[in-house]
Amino acid sequence: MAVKVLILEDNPVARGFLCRVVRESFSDISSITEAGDLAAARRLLGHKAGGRAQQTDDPYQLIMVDLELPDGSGLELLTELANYPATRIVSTLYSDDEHLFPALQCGADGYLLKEDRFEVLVEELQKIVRGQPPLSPAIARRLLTHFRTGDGLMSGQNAQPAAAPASAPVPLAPLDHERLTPRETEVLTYLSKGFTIKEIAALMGIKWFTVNDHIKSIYKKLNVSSRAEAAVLASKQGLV
Amino acid sequence: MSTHQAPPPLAPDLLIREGGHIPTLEDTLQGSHDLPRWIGWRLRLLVVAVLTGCALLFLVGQWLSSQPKLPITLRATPDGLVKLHSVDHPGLQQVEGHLVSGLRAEVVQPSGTTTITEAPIELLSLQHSGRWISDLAQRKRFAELHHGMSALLQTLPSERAVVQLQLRDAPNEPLLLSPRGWSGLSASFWMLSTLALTLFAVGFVVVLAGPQWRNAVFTVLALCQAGQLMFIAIESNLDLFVPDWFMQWDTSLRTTLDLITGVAVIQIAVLHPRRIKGWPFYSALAWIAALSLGLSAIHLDRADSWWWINAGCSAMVFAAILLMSAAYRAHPHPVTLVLQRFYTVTLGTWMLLSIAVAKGGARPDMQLNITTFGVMTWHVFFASQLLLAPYLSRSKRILQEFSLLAASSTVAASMDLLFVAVFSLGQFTSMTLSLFLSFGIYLTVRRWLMAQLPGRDPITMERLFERLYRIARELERQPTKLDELLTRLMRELFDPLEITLVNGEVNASELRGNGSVMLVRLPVLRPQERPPRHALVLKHSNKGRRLFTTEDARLADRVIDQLHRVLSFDQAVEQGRSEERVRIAQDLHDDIGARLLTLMYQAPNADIEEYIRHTLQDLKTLTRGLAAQSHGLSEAAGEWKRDLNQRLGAARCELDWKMTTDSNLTLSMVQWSALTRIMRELVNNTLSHAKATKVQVELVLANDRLSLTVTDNGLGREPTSWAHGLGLGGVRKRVKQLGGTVAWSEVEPQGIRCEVVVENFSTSAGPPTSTEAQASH
Repeated sequence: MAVKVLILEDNPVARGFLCRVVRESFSDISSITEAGDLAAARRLLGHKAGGRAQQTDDPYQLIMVDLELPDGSGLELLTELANYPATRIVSTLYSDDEHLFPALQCGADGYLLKEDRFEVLVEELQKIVRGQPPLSPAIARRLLTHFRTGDGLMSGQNAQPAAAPASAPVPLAPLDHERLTPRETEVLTYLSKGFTIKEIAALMGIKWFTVNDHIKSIYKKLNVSSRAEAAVLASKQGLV
Repeated sequence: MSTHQAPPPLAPDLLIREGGHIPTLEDTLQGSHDLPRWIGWRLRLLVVAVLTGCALLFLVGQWLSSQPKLPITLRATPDGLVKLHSVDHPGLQQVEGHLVSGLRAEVVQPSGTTTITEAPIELLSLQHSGRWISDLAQRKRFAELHHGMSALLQTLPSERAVVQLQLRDAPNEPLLLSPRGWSGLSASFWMLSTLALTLFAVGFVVVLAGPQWRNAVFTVLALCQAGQLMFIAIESNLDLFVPDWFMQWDTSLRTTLDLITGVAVIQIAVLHPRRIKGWPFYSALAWIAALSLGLSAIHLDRADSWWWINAGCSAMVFAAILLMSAAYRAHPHPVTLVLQRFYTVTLGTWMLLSIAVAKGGARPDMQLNITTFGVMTWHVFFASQLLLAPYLSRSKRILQEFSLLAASSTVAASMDLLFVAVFSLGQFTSMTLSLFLSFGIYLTVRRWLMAQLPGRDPITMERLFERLYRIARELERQPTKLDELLTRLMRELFDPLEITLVNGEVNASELRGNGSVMLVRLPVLRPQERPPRHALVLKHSNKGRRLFTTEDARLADRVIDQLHRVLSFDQAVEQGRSEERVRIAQDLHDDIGARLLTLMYQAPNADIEEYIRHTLQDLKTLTRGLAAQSHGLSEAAGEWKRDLNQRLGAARCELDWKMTTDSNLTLSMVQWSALTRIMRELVNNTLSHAKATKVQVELVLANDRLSLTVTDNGLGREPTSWAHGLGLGGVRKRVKQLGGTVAWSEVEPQGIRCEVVVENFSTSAGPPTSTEAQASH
């Protein structure tokens, strides 16, 4: 199956570099579309600012979004892509949780640090598409506090309540998908201490891909819980 | 300034409960924070009482103004005779200075006969009350004289009565008797009755403000003294013509009032400020003693009964003083101490007065003055004390001084008489001596008594400033310690017996319990967060030896205000500083970072690319260090480990990470960025030069000694001969910044070990940060 890729990046040199990374990572690329700002990306996806990107006949399967763009933040596009069936990856120079955590909340499936070496980037990109997203200690720590206290709700500076999906109002009581299982909490705790996935697997006596499953599940829960919170918030504010 | 002095250990009675339950203000004050619910009802009762008092006063004045008055003033001579001292109208001036022997009334009856009644005037006639005549025979004579006088008065017509004044060495002089009238009431009557009325009102205020037994006892005490004052006021206006019924009641009532006063003093000693063990026993004993003294004085009219009464009163006050010292030893309370000292002064003057009156028989004229003015002064002194007692912490200095002056006057008058009577000194000598002595006593007692009230020396202003400054600095580092630090400061300022942190809102520092308790409001550092309001309850200043005053409360408020001002200023400065740092960090990261990235992508070869990557990473470390406030060691270690893992993993090199710490301290920015860079440089070095397959990193923090060992199994040899390029130079620089040492050595069979050691890691902030730099000036 041919993969259609969209790369949103304002720096032409970096864009070229990311193109090379994508080409190196996958052998079945059908096309790579490049966009320099949010407006161009929205034109390509066929929706307006603040609107919702709808699935087309020939959708992009992989979308790479830079966080810092001349006409806004990549987070805006991420929220607009909430219903879009593509792997969404954030590429950024910011490696701290202050910037990455909101991106994950907005539904990013993974992130790439632009300063990493070519080989590292290729490997990370392949891993994300295979379903092995990265999780840095700082973000793991942030996730732990998020799920423990509900902190981080709409903390992304650009997360807009209006961008929440127009779904049925979600009840206020914490649902199962908003809580972490003890295993997931354990994995997060190890990750926050800097252990690798292999080390965690050895410490917990499970297979490495099981650890990976936990991480994927945490990603999903973060996104779902964030969206649910956003919906609750939105309905409270009478926005939906 | 010297380095931070270790804070004194918290006293065990500092009742700060960590994180848990903090008592509320109401709990601590035992519910006395609220105003009494029945205040309106009580207020009405008070008004009724005061109005009744005024009405009574008016009735007394009305009765007095209708009493007859002689238009002359009599005085006692040193040899016990009575002379005409002054006259009211000029027609009588020729008899001024003559000795007086009696009054004679000639009344022509309707039947035509003339009834002649004579009443002698002796020195005892000038005595106002039988209460202070110590000798039984004299007391009887005093009663006879007044009885004769009132019998004479009976025979006179009520209008335009004329009596003959019998003079010893001159012919009789006719005098016209007229009613005294309102204008004839002396100034001392008005002053004494006003004092009595005030005392009467204060007594009711105290008991109505807090209807408790001890307050009721205070009211009894106040009413007794008000009664005494009223008696003195009336007596001073009756002159020679005391009605018989008044004569009978006067002596016994005044004796009873004195005895009740003694009992009340004991009652207060056992009830206030807290009940002492076995108080019903003591009060019952006091009542029995007073009752038997009173009954024996009435029924066994013995020669020495006067002595028994006065000694009994003294004994009761003395017992009260003893009980108070026992109570103070059990529970130190400043009120106990102050009351005890007041009692001592009162008792001392009372005893002096009694002795002076009893022993002063040699100079009857002076004895007369003592029983009239000395006793009056003593009662005024006692009354002023009673007025002072409920408002010890709030009373003005002038009232305290007035009370003491009244006491000194009693002393002076008593001593004067004693010197003349007992030591046969001359009038002038004795007066000078007694004045000097009483003035000396006044000064001594004043110091001793007033030391409990306003004086302050525990902390000089200079030290107070230093404390405030230090607290501000400490709060900057640990804002949560506000309550604890202020508690310590208040302890140093006032040295209270007990200090409690409570929940509750106090708008300004205020006094409670007559100055034994002070409430201090605590400042709120971040009002927008709406933290729970706290206050401090300080009990018993100066380890229970002093009362809080309004000045203390004002001082506490000023201290808190100052601290608040300093802290908000510091906060604003710190906020500005931090905003500025974040802005610089963001600019650096966004602009320089993006350019470096572009440069990196276009690097002509791998070496340059790698060089730029390191530069970019350093830039990110720098900006993160600028933006973030602090990093926990274990959190930072997690990131270091992950970072090294990633980089070594990419080079197919194994990482063996070991970390043991005995505390998770918070790294300063300097420490964090230095350690981050040291670790990165060391691993970079291994990766780029040693071609190692395994890197061991060991981070140990024990007893404040940090050691970081990075060992590889690469090809490196002879570390002493290395050229210190940018990388290793950077490591040395960072280690030096931390105040540590770094050494490279070979390991067998192959590889290099680098060991970084920082002693006293927690204080190794390197060059002082801006705040500390400020503090060290």
